[in-house]
Amino acid sequence: MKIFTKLLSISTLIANMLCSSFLMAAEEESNNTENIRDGAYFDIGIGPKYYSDPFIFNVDKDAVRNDYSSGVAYFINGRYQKNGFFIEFPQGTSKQSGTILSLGYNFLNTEHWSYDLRLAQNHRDLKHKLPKSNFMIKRVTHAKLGLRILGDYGKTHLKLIAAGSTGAKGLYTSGWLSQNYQYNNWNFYSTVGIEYRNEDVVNYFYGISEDEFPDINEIDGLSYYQGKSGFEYTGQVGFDYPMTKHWVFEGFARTTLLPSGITDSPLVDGNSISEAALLVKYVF
Amino acid sequence: MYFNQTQIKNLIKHFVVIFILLLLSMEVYSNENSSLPKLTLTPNQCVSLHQGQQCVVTVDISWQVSLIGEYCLYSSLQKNKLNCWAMKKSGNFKKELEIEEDITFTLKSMGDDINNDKVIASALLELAWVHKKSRLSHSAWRVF
Repeated sequence: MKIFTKLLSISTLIANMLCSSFLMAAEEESNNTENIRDGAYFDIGIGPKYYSDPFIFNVDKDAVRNDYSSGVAYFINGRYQKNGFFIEFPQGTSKQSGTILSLGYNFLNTEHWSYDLRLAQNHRDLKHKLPKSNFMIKRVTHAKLGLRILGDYGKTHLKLIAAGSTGAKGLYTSGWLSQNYQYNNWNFYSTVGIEYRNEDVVNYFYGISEDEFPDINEIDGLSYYQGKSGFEYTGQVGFDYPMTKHWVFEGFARTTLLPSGITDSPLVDGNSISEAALLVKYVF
Repeated sequence: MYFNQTQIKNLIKHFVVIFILLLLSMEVYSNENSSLPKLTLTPNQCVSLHQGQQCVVTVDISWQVSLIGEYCLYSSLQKNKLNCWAMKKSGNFKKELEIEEDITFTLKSMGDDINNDKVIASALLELAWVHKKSRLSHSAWRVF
C-alpha cells in the first residue's frame, strides 16, 4: 500500500510536470517551421579522473581506461540532428546513466522548451565476478523509449525524463536543474538531479533471487535479496574556461546518493558514487 | 539491444586520442609581420564560452614606427585617445577590457600639421566564442 501510494504520488508529479510543460508549449509554440535544434555537435576531451562507487565484486573496476575507474579518462559528446531525428553519443562530463548511443525524434520546440522521444539506456551494465566461485553475474541494460523535455531559460536549464527501463516493468524518471554563472571568462555551473527507479529496475540490477543461482549463493555467501524502489540524488559543480575558439579547460565534481533499495543489496557496500575530473577538450 | 559497452567505448576512445594528437600537430601559427609601422596586440583575440557573453581581456598593445614624433592610440570603444607619446618611435600600453564586439585600435600621428590625425597603423582585437548562440542549443545542456 505504501509503495502504491508512493508510485501514485510520483505518477501524479510527473503527470503534472508533463501537463504544465505541454500547456506552456501550446502557449509558446513558435511559428517558425524550421527545427532550431537541427545540426551537429562534437567535442572530445582527455584528463585525469577520480571515480569511486560502492559496487563490490565489480569487474569493471579492474579494466584499464574504464569509465568506472580512476585514471586517465576520455570524454566524448556527439550529437547530430536532421529534420528532428537525432543521434547522440553522450559520454561527456554530465551524468548520463550509462547511455552509449541514443536515438530519438525532436517533435516540438517552443521559445523555452524542447520535447524529444528518445530510445536510450537508463542504467549502466553491471558485471559482478563472485570471489569464491568466480561466477560472473552480468546485468545488461537495454535501450528503452522515453520522453525527454529540455527547458532553457538563459542561465537556468531544466531536464525532465520519463522512460521505460530494464526490468520486467521497469520505470525511470528524473528531473534536473542547472544554474550557470560567469566570472570574467570563467563559466561555473551547479546542477542538482533526482532520479527514480521502480522496484523492477532495482531488482534487475541489484536483486538476488532464490532460484537464480542457488548453489553459487551458498558458496559465495550471498543472501536472497529483493529491494524496493527509490530516489537517487545527484549534485554536481563544475567550470569551463575557453582557452581558444576550440579548446576548453573543464573540471567537475559530482556525488550521487543511492537509495536503500540499492545500498542494502549484497552486491553493494556503501551509499554513494563520487566522480571528479579535470580535462581539456576540443570542440569542433 | 545488447552491447559490450567496454569494448565499444575503448575502441572509440582510442580512435579519439589519436585524432586529438593529429589535431594538435596540425595547429598553425601565423608569422609576425616585421615591416614598419607596426601595431601589435597580445592577445589579438578574446574568447568567451558562448556567443553574446561579455569577454574580459588584458591586452598588451605595442607599436613601432620608423620616424620619431608624437603619436596617439585610439580604440573603437571610445572617442578619447587611450594614450599619447611625444618624441617616440615606439611604445607600449596595457589595458583591461570588457568587450562585446570586435575592437579596432589605431595609432595616429599627431604632431605634424600635414599628417595630423593620420592613421599610421591599425589592429583588430577579435571577439570569438566556442559555442554559437542559439536557443535550446546542444551546448546549453552539458548535456543532452
